[in-house]
Amino acid sequence: MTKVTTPDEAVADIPDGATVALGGVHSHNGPLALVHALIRKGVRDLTLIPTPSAGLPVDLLIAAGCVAKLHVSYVGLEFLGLAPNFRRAAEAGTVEIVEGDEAWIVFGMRAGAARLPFMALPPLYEGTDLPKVNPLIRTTTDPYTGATVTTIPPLRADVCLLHAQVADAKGNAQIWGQRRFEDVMAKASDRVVVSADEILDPAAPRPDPRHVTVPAPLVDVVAHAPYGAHPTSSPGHYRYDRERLVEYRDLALAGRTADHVDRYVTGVKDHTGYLERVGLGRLLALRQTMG
Amino acid sequence: MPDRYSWAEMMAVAISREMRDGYFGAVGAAAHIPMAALRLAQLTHAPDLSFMCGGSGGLNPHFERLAESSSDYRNLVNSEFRYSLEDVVDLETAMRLDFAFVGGMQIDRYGNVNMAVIGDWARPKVRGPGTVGLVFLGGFRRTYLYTEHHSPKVLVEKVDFVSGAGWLGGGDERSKVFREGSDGPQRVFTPLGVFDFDPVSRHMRLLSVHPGRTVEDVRAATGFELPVPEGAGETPAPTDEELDVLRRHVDRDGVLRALR
Repeated sequence: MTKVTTPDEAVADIPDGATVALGGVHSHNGPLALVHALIRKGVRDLTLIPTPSAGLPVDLLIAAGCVAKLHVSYVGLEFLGLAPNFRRAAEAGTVEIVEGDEAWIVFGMRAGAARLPFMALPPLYEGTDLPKVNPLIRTTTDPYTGATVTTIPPLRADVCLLHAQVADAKGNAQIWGQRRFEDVMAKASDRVVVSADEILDPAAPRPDPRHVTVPAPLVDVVAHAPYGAHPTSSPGHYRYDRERLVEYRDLALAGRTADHVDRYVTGVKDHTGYLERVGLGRLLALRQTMG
Repeated sequence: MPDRYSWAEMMAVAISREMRDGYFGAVGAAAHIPMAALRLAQLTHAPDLSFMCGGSGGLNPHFERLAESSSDYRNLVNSEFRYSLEDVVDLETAMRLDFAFVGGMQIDRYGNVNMAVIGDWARPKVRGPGTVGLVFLGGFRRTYLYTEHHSPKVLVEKVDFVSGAGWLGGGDERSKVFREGSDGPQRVFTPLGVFDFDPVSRHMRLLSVHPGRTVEDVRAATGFELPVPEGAGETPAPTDEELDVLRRHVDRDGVLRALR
């Protein structure tokens, strides 16, 4: 049975108030086709648990009014500066912030993936201000040594959105770039949606299993989304679209993200409409080169 | 500043000289200067130095050009190994990293670092990007701090929020909290000079000022009273060989050279 559908269909049953895990690292592998579909659908009150190095997808979802709560490790635009909509929302208090970090998200999701009760850590948070503002960073007694240890709770999501370079119709997904912990996020989520630039033809030779990074049994839906990470990069397929990222940043800084959303997200019917709006010449020029 | 090189090249060379052969460490995002410094060290005096290159997942990238994103795919495909984010947090937690490079919106006189908020957390004046890997200052064996912006707003008396714990309130406060072997901030590298921490008070102090800068420049740009010990001198300028390797094998596009 094929799991392949469109980005809009793939997110159609994500309800208001859902907890959503988001893949992508800085300007790379952002699941933008799925994020755009969520915004078109008009979903509200999401809780986001992005990877520890999150950027544009989170900023855009906040600007579009989809987010009620956000687990923060890093949300920014890396070499392009702060994420303007995240910054505004956090300063105005319109999005609830769970003050976390890399350990919070990685260890938390690892506990969620294995359904462990919590993770116990050696002294790391001690001396920092995180436990003061995140009441779920707690302490307990190590039953083996009697020492006091810091605990963080398991994190799980209702749905996980990832972008892959290639997937087959069963959902075996290949993420060619940095291996963050997409497989862990998938295990820590009740439902996994993968967008892929390319879907393997059922008659094509099976890919080398060593290249599959998220296996089919963990994947519920595959959205065929060529250039589905644009304007972030899809490692091995295309570079990030620097000009569009700068344009986004500048509009966001000016409080005009709505112009971007109107033009590229709600002003188009679907992902194909998005690609037409961006333009063929521009997309082809982004094809990955090693130069 | 001398014409022969830029402040960013001076910083990279100063960092490179501090790197010991055989060390294993990491850089984070927005890490042009430490990346270049580590590659330069590998190509000069420290061939067995190893480092994880931020979000790229690439261990020991053999780049010849500095990508503007340390997470760039090119830093992965020309590396020696693809590590995962789990590898990073495991090694950071287990105190397996000899060093890590860390920046911040604010760095205080005891080497505590803030990336979360300026002002009050509940109603911040500036919401920063977040703490990311900074709690692992409690797990790195040595922490090297760096900033491209040496100003009183960055180098402050006291951080508004402790994302990463340096020497905390100074003295022996840190050793009461963290495990033995996590030795805290060792150096601060900035466009103006190199700084270390007094072994007793743990207060930041001047180690050397870069050529073309004065102690007065440094003091004026620092947001706290900066001790200048008697031995503090001038950072030796980059040698012709250091600049040659940097420009021909590490930063062929002159990204650092353009930072003047």
